[in-house]
Amino acid sequence: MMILKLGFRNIMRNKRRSILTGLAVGLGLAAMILVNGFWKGMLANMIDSAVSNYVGHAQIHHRQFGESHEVQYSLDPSSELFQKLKQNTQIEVISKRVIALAMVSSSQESLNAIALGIIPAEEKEISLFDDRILEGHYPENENDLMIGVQLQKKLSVQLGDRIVITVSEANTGELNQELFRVSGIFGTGVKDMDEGMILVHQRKLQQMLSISGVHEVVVMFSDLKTAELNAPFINSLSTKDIKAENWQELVPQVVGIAKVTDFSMGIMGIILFILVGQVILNTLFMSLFERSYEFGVLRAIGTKNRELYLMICSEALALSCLSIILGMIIALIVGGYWSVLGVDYSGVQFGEVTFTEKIFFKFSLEQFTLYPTSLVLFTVLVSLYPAWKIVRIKAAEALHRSL
Amino acid sequence: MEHVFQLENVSKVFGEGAVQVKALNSINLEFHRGEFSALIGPSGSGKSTLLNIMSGLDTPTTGDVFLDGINISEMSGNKLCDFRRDHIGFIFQSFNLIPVLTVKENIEYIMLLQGVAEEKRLQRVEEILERIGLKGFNNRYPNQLSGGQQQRVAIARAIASQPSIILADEPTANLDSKTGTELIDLMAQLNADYGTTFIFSTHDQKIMDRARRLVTLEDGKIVSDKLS
Ligand SMILES: Nc1ncnc2c1ncn2[C@@H]1O[C@H](COP(=O)(O)OP(=O)(O)OP(=O)(O)O)[C@@H](O)[C@H]1O
Ligand SMILES: [Mg+2]
Repeated sequence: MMILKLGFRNIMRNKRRSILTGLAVGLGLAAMILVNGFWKGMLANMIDSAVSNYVGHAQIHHRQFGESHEVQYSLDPSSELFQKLKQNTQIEVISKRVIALAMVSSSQESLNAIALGIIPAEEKEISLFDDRILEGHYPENENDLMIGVQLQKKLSVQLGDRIVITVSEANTGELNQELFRVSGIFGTGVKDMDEGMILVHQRKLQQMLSISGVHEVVVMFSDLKTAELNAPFINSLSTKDIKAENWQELVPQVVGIAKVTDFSMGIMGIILFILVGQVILNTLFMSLFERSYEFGVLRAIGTKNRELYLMICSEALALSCLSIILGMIIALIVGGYWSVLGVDYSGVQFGEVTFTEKIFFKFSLEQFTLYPTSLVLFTVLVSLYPAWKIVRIKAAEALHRSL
Repeated sequence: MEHVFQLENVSKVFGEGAVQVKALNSINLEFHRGEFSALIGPSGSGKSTLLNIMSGLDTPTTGDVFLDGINISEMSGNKLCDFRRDHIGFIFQSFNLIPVLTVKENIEYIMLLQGVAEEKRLQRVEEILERIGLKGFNNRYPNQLSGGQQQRVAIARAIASQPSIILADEPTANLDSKTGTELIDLMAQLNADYGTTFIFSTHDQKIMDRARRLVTLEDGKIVSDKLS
C-alpha cells in the first residue's frame, strides 16, 4: 500500500513534467478516440446513406432478374414469399418495385433511363426521393412521372411537360410507348439517381411491360440492429428461383470500408502506442535516474527487487491514470462538440457511396474502456524496462554517485 | 564475545586498467556486539567503501565478509536484503529520507517491509518519535525539517526495525556543532540502552572523542586500531 502511495506521490514531485507527459499521452488517447468516433460516425452515415437512400435493409429478386435484368423474371405478389414477409412483425416497410430500362424522349432529346414503377405510399417510407423533391409532387395519376434533376436538364423539360416513355414488353420484346407528364423533379445529390431515373406508377409500368409481378422487393426493419437480427430470416427466403439478400451483400463496398477502417485503426493504434511508449519511457528514465541516490537508500534499508518494481510500476500506473483522465476529458469535449454539430460532408462521394447527411462523431463504450485500459496496461508494461535498469544499479554505486 | 562482523583479507578495486583505484587493501577486521566505534582517516581512504562492503551493499574484489559467522557472499540477494532490513540500520550523511513520505511514513517504511501489523507500527513510531525528541512531527515532510531534525528521523528509521547494528556514514558532517553533539548523545544513549552496535565513518572530532574504538584507514589500509 505504501509502495503504491509512493508511486502516486512521486509523479507529483515534478508536477509540470508529469502534466506535460500526461497531456502528451492524453492527446494520443484523445486522437485515437476521436478518429475512432469519427470513423464510426462516417460508417454509420455511409450505411445509413446506402440503406435508407434506396437500397433498404434487404432486397429480394427473382434469381434470373438479378443476373439478366430481363423484365419477365418477376415475383408474384400473391406467392408464399409475400405471406412470409407479412408474417414477420419486425418488418416495418415492404416496398415493391418494377424496374425496366426505358427510353425517355422529350421534344428535344432521347435518353436511356431506368424506369422505376412504384407504389408511392410504400416507396415514400424507404427511399430518399420524397425528401428531395425540388418541384412538383410524387406521381399521383396514372400518367404522372417524376424525373431526376440532371435528366430533366438534359431533356430540357419543365414541370407539366410531356414525355414519351418506350419500354420493351416481357417475353415478346415488342416496343410499347406511352405519354407521361412531368409531375415532379427530384434532386437526391446521388449522381446515378438524378441522371438516370424516372419514377412512374407501378400498375402503369406493369401494363406497359405486360407483367403482373414485381422485380424488386425492398424490406426495411425499424433499425440496423433489428435488420442484423433478422438476417437469417432474410436468408431463409432464398430458394431456387428467389434470391434474398441483406444490405451487407447489396452494398459490399460499405462492408469493405468498415474492414479497412478497422485495419487503419489498428495501424494507428500501434503507431500511437509506440509514441506513447517513447514519451513514458523518456519521462520515467528522467525522473527515475535523477533519483538514483534515493533508490540506493531504499535498497540499503532492505527494499527488494520485487518492491522496487512495484514502486516504479505504480509510478507508471499513476502517470498513465493522469494521462487517460486528461485524454478522456479532451475526447469528451471535442467529441461532444462534433457529436452535436457534426461535420458537413454531404454530397461527397466515398467508395461509391455518397454522403447525404452531416457526419456526427459517434461515442462508443470501447473508446472509454478498451482504449484507456490498454493504454494503462501498456504503460505499466513499458515501465518494466526502466525499472529493470534501476534494479540493476548497485546500491553502493547509486549512493556513491551523488555524494 | 561473539563476532558481529568479521572481515578477512578484504580488498576492493574500482575501475580497471590505468584508472584502477585500490580502495581497500587486505583488510582484516572484527567488530563486536555493542561496539561504539569509528572509522577515521583522510578523504578517499576507503571508509565508505568498507561500510558498504560490510553491509553487503557492495561486494569485495577479494576476501570474505562474515556476518554472525555466515559468509555474505554465500547469501542470495533476497536473503541479504532481508538480513539488512532486519539486522542493519543505515544513516547517511544526508538525503536519508524519502522526500515524498512523511516522517511517520519514513519510519514506518521498514516495518512495512517486515510485515509488522499496523497497530504495532504506529505504536512504535510514536515511541521512537518521543525517544528522538520529535513528538508531533508525524505528518511533516522531510523538506519541512531542519538538517538536524532530518538526521534524527534518519536515526529513528534506522532503529525502527530494532537492528543489532547501525552503520552511520558521516552522520554529523552536515550539521552544526551543537546539533551534531545532540545527535551523538542520542546515538550513545541508544547504544547504552539497547546495546545497539554503532559503527561510524567520520571526520568529526566529537564522534572520535566519544567512540570507544578508533580504526584509522589510510589508502585502503588499516594503520591503527585503538581502544580508548
Ligand atoms: N563506486 C566507485 N567507483 C570508483 N571509485 C570509487 C567508488 N567508490 C569509491 N571509489 C574510490 O575509492 C576510494 C575510497 O573511497 P571512499 O568513498 O571509500 O572514501 P572515504 O574514506 O569514504 O572518503 P570520504 O571521507 O571523502 O567520504 C576513493 O579513491 C574513491 O574515489
Ligand atoms: Mg565516505
